[in-house]
Amino acid sequence: MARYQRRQPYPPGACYALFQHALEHRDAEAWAALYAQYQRLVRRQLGNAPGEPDALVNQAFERLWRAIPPERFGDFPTLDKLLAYLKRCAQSVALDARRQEEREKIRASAWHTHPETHSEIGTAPADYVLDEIVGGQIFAHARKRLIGPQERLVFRASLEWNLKPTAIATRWPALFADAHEVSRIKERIFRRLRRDVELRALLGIVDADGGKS
Amino acid sequence: MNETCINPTEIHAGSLMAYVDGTADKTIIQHVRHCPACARQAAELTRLQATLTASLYRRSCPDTEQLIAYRYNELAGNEHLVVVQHLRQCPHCARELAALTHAERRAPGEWLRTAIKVIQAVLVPPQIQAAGVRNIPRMNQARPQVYRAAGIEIIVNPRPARTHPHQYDLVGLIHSAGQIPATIGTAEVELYHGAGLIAISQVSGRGQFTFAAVEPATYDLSLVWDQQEIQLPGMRVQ
Repeated sequence: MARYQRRQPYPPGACYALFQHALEHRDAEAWAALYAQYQRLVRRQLGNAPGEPDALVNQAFERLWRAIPPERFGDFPTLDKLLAYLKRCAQSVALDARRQEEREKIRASAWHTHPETHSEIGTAPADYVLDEIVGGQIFAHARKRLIGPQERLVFRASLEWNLKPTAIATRWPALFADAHEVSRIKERIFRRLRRDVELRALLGIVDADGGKS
Repeated sequence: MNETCINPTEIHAGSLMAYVDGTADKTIIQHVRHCPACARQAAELTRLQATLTASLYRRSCPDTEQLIAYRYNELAGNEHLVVVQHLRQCPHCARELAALTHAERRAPGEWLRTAIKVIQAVLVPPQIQAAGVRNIPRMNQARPQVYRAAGIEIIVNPRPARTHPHQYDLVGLIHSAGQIPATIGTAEVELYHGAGLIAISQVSGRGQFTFAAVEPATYDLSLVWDQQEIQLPGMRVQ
């Protein structure tokens, strides 16, 4: 940092100049100094986000690097704007880490209960990409089988938001008389989906006879 | 195998789903325990729910960068409307947005305020540590560590913790030439171990801060105050 401070004048300040060298000129030394200067602030913003702290800090800086290529640096005319954007990168990484942890808990629970499903999907980045693609196909296919706004809401609330029937009935009292009505609609959806050969194949559900439907 | 229910009058539409979700009444629970056909169907519903939830959980939620952009009123047109509509229904995104907003309210501008300047404090060698601090109350314990930066002296004194054997209470004092700076009550001291932030202590108006029951180790401290962060590296507690 001192190296850059000695290079005055750099309007509007040495810290801004450090960002400029790091992001606009893609100067590796400036990038290292920038990281050293602000990594603690990023760490503070990350708070207790789940994951390896250094990896999360790296992700936040990586997002900054990717989001502000040299030609976009002019969009950030002040240090405040640059720091605000770095803060957003850290917030985004923290939220993503928490979402990832929630997903892993739900998947671990499903795989623990039914180890025969999704056995081919691991935890490597490529596996997550595969999982995303398959998940997208399942989502699109299942939604086509839904009839009416009640079924669509029960499907989303139950499977996308993991809400129990009681919570759904409480949250949308104008649509559902009680939890039992939600259970009835949910069971109707599930029985329909269970008969869907294509969906069963996408889900990797194996029939009792050992073959995939 | 075509199993049939042992007593269809006990099972109605939605009963098995309620059983799977743990909201069924005792009659249903007893029925499923004794009816192989319903137990098998309940197991299939459980499996379908588990696999679908694992695949679909928060699939159509806006991504985090989109949510943050919404927080800062940067979305426009259809994208804005989609997120608004989603937030009305999704409890998870609503919770995340509330957390973002709360963090901003709790420390408005803190990020910018504290990010302006970072200073590395110097650890004063032990032989001159006592100079100038003799009259400061409660700071004459053994092995205090003194740091200096930007005209500020920060004295940190590890004391054996009363309540936790083998741990220490860290008692600190911040002063400038024997005077307590007027705005020191707005400062915070952060305790780091390696990469991890362990604890934060609010500095009192008398320039004092404490961390209770700290394990023996080497820590870094950061004093965040008055548009600057003063880092105190390598503080040994033993």
